[in-house]
Amino acid sequence: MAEMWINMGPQHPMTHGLWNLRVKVDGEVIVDAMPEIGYLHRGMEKIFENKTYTQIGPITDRLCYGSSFTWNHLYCMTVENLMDLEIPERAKYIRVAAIEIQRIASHLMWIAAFAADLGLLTGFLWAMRDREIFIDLLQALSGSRLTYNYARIGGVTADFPPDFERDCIRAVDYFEKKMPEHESLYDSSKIFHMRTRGIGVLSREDAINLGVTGPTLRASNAKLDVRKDRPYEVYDEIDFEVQCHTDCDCWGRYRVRMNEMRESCKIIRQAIAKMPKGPVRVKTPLIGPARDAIGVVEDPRGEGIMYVIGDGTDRPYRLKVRSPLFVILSAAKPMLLGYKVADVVAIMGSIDVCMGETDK
Amino acid sequence: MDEQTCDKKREKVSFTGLVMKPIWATIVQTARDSFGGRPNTVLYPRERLVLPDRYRGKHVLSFKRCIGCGQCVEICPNECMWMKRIDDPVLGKIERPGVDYSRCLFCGLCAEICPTDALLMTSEYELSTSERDGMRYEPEALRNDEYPVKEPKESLLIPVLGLDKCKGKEACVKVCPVKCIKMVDIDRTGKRKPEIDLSICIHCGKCAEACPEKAFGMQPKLVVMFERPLPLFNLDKCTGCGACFRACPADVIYMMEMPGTEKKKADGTMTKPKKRAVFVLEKCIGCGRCERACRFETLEMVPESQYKSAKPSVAKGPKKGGKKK
Repeated sequence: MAEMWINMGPQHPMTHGLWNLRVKVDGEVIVDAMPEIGYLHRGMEKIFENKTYTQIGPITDRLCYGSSFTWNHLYCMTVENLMDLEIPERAKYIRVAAIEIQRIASHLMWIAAFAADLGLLTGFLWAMRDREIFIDLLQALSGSRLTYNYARIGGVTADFPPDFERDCIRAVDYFEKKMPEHESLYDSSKIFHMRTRGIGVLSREDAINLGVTGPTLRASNAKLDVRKDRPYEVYDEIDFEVQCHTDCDCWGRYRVRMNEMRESCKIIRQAIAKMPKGPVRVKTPLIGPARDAIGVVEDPRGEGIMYVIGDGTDRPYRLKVRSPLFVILSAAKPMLLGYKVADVVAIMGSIDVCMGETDK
Repeated sequence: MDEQTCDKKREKVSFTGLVMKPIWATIVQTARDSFGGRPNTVLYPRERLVLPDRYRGKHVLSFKRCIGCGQCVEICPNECMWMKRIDDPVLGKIERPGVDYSRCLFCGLCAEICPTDALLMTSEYELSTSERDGMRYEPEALRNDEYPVKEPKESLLIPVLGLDKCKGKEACVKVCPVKCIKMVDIDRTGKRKPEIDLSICIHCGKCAEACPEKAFGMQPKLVVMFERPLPLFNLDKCTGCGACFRACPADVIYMMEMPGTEKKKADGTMTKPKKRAVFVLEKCIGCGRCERACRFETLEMVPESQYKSAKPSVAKGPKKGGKKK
């Protein structure tokens, strides 16, 4: 049988966003793969150079539509490092709570997309229904459904609205009650098992060598999490477990994300319980000094890094965004080789592709 | 490939256990939703979701509170706002911002930087039109003077000096319990003005009570959480034209005569003395309009944090360390 290249994308149900996965098939078996990106390139890093530090904030929201708060927060944290700004303690706890709400919302969107990819439409509907609760929380907090623009250089925009703590605890209670239902849908589905178990195996060595981070790395049995290894904000005061899985396949990635949502619920509870009273913001400076700074966070998709160089004006000289998925997509080939074309959807779906941050 | 490890863990799959279980879970959920639960959706045009107070939708602009400083236009990341000159029957010749919603990000920075809470965001979100120009909202279309401020910015009562009334009697300096008021000379005018260090001020209002001329008035000032630049004045270049005074939206600038600058005219009479600008920086909102209005490069906008150490580029100007909190 002759080998041939198949373009899966740029417009394909598998691709969440616009990208092209070229796979070379021998019959049905994949013998080569080549991800092609750049269809969603918006020149973000160049835009950042032409805006003031304050104006960049709302644009960083657009890096990833699935977890915009994480990127907004990462940007603010990086610039705070640059400006040596000490933010109030309460703002740090609010940020941690909001990041974890965002992580649950992002993982729920992932499980919805993944379930829809594998033909489990019920999973899609249930996950989207429960995601709505967390989106509502963030909407009440920040005033917007998807692009929150809630973090500011020097804290957060505003304090919790009235009764927000109660709503948070209620949402977490509800979600923890619903988690077994979600899991029963996947754990006890033979189709789901068949399509994820032993599919898309990425060995621990490969994952580490290729720079894969986040749930994909932890599913390859490497216990690495920026929140634990290099705590930012107040993660060092919060008790949680880094979730990892030994299976190294799509099933492992699914389990890691499900367990991470449980941990996120724990973190939200602790952050709200430990939150001190006080101000939530200090004044945003106008000028960034002429030096460089770095910020590292654990995005729901992996390790997000921003590197900023200031030149003593109100605009950054350079702002580099290290997107986790840009790196994870380079591991597409070792994940895909040897599997069938029909598994491509499951494998690529399991890494939670978000093209907004990949193409920037 | 680690397929062996995976295979080891694979559970025994039986038809009833692993196929019927999810089907059963779905049936239970459907039954629960249809009989006991509430629907997950709303019938949109007839029913609407309750939006939080903070929702960032279409703007409203209070023409009365707006001072036309243009900071919203300046901070907009997408350059979707502009200032329009309006001849209002009540308010006179004013400048007010308009918004182009085909470019708006709905980030809310404009409402956040507004120093008078005049620009607010409502929970109105139905902005679609059939024409492209329909997304362009002129200030008159945004106008709503009665719209309540749902989450007002934190405000501080600060003593605001009306410099034209001040006679320099120093009553305020004596009465201030925390000694935050100092008298400073206004160069070449022979006058002095009280200067308030707002980082120490406890907002007690005693200076306002003590002032014999009623020059001090306690006025609320909204705390804008963005650092703003302040105008640094270079007296040597000032011609006293008063362009900055006319441009200032916050009444920060006073024009004062400088005695000794009168010149003799040919017919023996004396000209009027030259004037200079004096800044009461406690009121300043940092919009930079004065700098743009000045044609003689007298003014330079310097960030608040560097203001105390900054010096005018040529000669020593008046020392006014007016510092906002």
